[in-house]
Amino acid sequence: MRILFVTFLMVSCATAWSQSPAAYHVFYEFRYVRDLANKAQPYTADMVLTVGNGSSRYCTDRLFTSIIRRKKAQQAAVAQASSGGGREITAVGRPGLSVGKYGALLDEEIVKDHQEKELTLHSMLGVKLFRVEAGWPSITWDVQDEKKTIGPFNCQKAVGAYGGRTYTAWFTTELPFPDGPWKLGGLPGLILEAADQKGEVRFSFKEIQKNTDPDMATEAIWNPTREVTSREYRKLMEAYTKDPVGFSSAQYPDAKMSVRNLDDAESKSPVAKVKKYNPLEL
Amino acid sequence: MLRYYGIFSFLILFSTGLNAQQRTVRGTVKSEGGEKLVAAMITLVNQKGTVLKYAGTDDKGGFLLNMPVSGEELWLEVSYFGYLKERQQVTADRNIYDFVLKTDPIGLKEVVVKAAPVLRQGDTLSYHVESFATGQDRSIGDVLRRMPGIEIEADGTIYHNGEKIQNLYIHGDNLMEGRYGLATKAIHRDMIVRVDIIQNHQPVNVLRGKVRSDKTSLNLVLKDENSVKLTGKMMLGGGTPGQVDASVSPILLNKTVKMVNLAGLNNAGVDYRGNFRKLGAAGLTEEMKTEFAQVPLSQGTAGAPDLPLKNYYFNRSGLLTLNNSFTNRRDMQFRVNLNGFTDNNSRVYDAMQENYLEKDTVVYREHQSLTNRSRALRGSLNIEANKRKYFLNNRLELSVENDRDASALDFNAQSFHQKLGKNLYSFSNDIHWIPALKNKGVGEVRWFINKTNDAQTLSMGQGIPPGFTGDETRVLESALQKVRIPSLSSQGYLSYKVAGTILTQDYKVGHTYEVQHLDTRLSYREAGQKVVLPVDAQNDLRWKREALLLSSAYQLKYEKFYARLDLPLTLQRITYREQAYDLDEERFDPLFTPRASLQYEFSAERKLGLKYSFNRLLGNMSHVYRGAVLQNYRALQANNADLQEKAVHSAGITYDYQKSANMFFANIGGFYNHHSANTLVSMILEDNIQKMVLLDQHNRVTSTGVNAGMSKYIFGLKATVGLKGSWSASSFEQIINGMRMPFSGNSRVLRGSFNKRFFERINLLWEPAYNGFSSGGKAKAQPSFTHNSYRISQDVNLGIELPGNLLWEITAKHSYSGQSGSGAVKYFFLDSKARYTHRKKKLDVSLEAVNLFNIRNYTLYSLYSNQLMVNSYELRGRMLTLRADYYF
Repeated sequence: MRILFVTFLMVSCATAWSQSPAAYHVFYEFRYVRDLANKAQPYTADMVLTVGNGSSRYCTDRLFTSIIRRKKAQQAAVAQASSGGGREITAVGRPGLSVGKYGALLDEEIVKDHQEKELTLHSMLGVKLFRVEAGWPSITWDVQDEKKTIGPFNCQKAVGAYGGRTYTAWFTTELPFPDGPWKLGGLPGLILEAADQKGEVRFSFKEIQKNTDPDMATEAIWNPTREVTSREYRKLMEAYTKDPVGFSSAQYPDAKMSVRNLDDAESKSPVAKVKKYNPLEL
Repeated sequence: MLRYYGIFSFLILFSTGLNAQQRTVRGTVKSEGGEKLVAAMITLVNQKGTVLKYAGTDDKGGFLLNMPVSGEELWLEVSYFGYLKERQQVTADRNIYDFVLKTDPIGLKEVVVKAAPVLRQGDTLSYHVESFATGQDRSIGDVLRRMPGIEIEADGTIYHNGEKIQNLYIHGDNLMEGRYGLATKAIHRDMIVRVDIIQNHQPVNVLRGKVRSDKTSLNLVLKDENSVKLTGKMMLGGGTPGQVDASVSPILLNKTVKMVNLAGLNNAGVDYRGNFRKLGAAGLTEEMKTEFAQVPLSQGTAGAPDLPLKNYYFNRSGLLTLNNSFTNRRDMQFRVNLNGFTDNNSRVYDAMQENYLEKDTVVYREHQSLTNRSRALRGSLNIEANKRKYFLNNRLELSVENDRDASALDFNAQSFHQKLGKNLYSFSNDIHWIPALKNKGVGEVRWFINKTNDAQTLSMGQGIPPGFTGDETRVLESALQKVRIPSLSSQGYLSYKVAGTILTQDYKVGHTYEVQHLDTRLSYREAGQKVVLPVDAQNDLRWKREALLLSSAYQLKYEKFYARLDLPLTLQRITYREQAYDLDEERFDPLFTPRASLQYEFSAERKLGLKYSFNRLLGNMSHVYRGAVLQNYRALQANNADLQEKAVHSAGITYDYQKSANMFFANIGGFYNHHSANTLVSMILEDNIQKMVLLDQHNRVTSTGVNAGMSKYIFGLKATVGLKGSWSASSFEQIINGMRMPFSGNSRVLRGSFNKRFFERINLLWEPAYNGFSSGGKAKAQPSFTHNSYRISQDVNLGIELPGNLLWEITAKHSYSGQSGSGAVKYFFLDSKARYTHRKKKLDVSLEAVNLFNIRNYTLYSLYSNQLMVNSYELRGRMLTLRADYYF
């Protein structure tokens, strides 16, 4: 029995990945022409990159906010428990389908471990979470002389290719993290701005905040166990983007799907569908 | 020169590449404490601070950088988060540069948090009603439907993420006692500020943190917990032919007084039982119940058709339901729930039953027009203290049910009248105490007592077939069957439970005491004389059961493995006696009935479950009475056997498979049941009577089945297709007209579903289904016989959202059924409903049309062992109802 326990513990340890205390939260605006039939209205979202020593987490501002709230609530629950009336805290259940004014949400969480060179992508497609074997993006950057300031930071230009697109990135050595929004990174300083040369994808710096919560780490918020390959993921993402409601209903065949528009709870208009899908990675 | 330039650019691009002609600098990066810093960034910068080259440190804190050819002054800079930046000038005579970094914490802006409509707090998910409600929504139920993860079934049951909620609480109170259908329909959304979904909800305060619950509950949080405003809903409706539907529900909710009441009446086919149907748990702890043996009498042999009730419910119903609670300053809650229901309904049907025997077919035909008149009153008083230190609850319930049914019946070309009266009184009291213990365990003391009296009288007028008297030539004026069963039961237990993170142990000692008395009389009138049938048509049976229960249960949950083992041992003593039949039996049985289940999750998408149980069941009083009882005008039942003893082995397996990557979901399961009993049903089928006797003969019943389901999202069509199938077979034996016959039957079900949304405003659901039944038998030296019946049906539901707050729904049902040796029957039902919501005024108007094709008759085939039943029902024709709902 004891051997069995030790084996279980070893297995559970092996599945945990490294994380470090959060240092900064960097807020970006993400603009992406997801529907080539509707270039005038690109998909936009606020994203947060939380960087720490040797690791980072990149997710939507909404998910980030929810974890802050959850942590607060947990603290409150712990306080309540120590006074004798707490209740146990467990994993969350699956929610109904949340969409935005652009239709399907691009709800990805990317966790990078620079020391192990591991990138893990978690994604909420419809009402289910997936883990994607994404691989470490080794981007070969051409560091150029050109400079500009973004906010209070002096940035330098670098050009590199990733996922079928050529990005122009602006990084700052004043923030010594070889990281950046989405899968971008590997420069000797944080990428504050990046845009592809077709003008279809853009990450713009909005704000940076020092982390003040000693318990906040760069660990993944989600822990999906459903694993898919990058190829399968792209196919699912395309189907989901083109028909968010139908796709999600199919995920729970026996349940009735409830849909909520996060941008407008009163919204009566149908969930937007992407007609001419323009994938982020070509 | 050009060649050199090419090499240089090559080097710039692949800075890690080594070239013998190039100068390489190396070094290490450490902290003040001597710790090697991994993945620190080393940049080569010029005077302007422009980065020319960069590299990161390896896992030993070392770095390697190829120097470009440059005339400028160059520096190596090292930066690492949490340390001060260090720089050293690159000189021609030095190739090794070691860095020691000093710590430096930096400060920037504070974190800003925005408000979100859904807030997760520990196990609680809070939905702010205002964030989800739209102008159309009136009741809290309307808003609940919009909340992600919440669904409400047609009968009012609430599900969260596909899981049925344990209960609905109003501001933390169990006001509705699980009968919450009315609360969601009648409570105005403006009264509720928040809906809390509490996962792993343990409603008993003293058990919190000790006994984990896997149940989910829903709590409606009041906007103003001091409100004294009376609100509610009024509804008035009318339609053709001659329909009235009206109701009023006054509501008052605050932290001390809560009231959700309803009064209504209708003849429009609306079933009021939905307002007090039990959808959740009655109390905060598991409910105690007694299942007394019953000997039910009935007027006919046909059940209800498989159609929605509104299609055949010719009713005149009235309802009064009161749910009121008061909480005093010491947090003691007093609650009174009362349901009064009166219903007069009528039904007309034709039923034919063909009994296939080895040589012959016995046919029973009946035509009946029934009037059911029922009155029911159920009231309960609950006193509850749910405190940190203890839980104390006392629940007293009283109910009275009274049925006065009458019918005119034609049976095999004989006509007569029937009357059936039923009176059921029931009283129960449940007291439950859970004190807080100092250690991790939980102790419980509980006592439940239940007393009932069940009296039934079936009287049949002139023309009643005399078959039951054993003499077909008699001419009877009337017949009367009386049944009276007073019962008393007491159940008490002491339990101790220790819950752990891996292992939970549960020990219980309980005592059950049960007494029942069966008093029946069958008499008839012939030539002006009342004839009480000889002793074999009377019962005066006294039954007593005492049991001591010693049980232990274990639950083990570790990682992907979940197991449960129940080991109950019951020491049971049963006595039953009746002088007239020289019956005086006493038996003592130790019953050990273990159950085990096992679940293993291979991964998030694959799960295997196994189940096994062994049960030894002993029959009840209804299996040992000796005198015959005429259960309906043509079924005479008696027993001639010892107490039925059944040994049941059941085994089951389920396997769930999901391939989310392909949007494919499947499950498959199988079961096997084996019963062996010491009694066998012997049936004697005569032209006008069917006699059933339970005999002392060994009997074996086996049943096997498999079921499978799958669902796939078709990427190309953007639609979901589902398919479910099941097959089951059973075999058993019966004695029919003195001949022991083996029977076997099987059923096959195949159901499909197709769901697609068009243009976002139209939802189409199509569900085709096939049901097939076969039944056959073979007696020794006789040819075998088989009968088949089948049914193919299609259900279509089309929902359309029209502009201008208008909803339009169309429901169509098509069925095609038949059986071997006779023609097929086809049906097509069409219903439609439209609803208009006025945003400003608190008014909704709806128009409902039921049975547009005005179908007045419905025939249903069903097959069971050697019997084929063909029932034909009269339906409510086309109905149009206009309703106005006003919220005050």
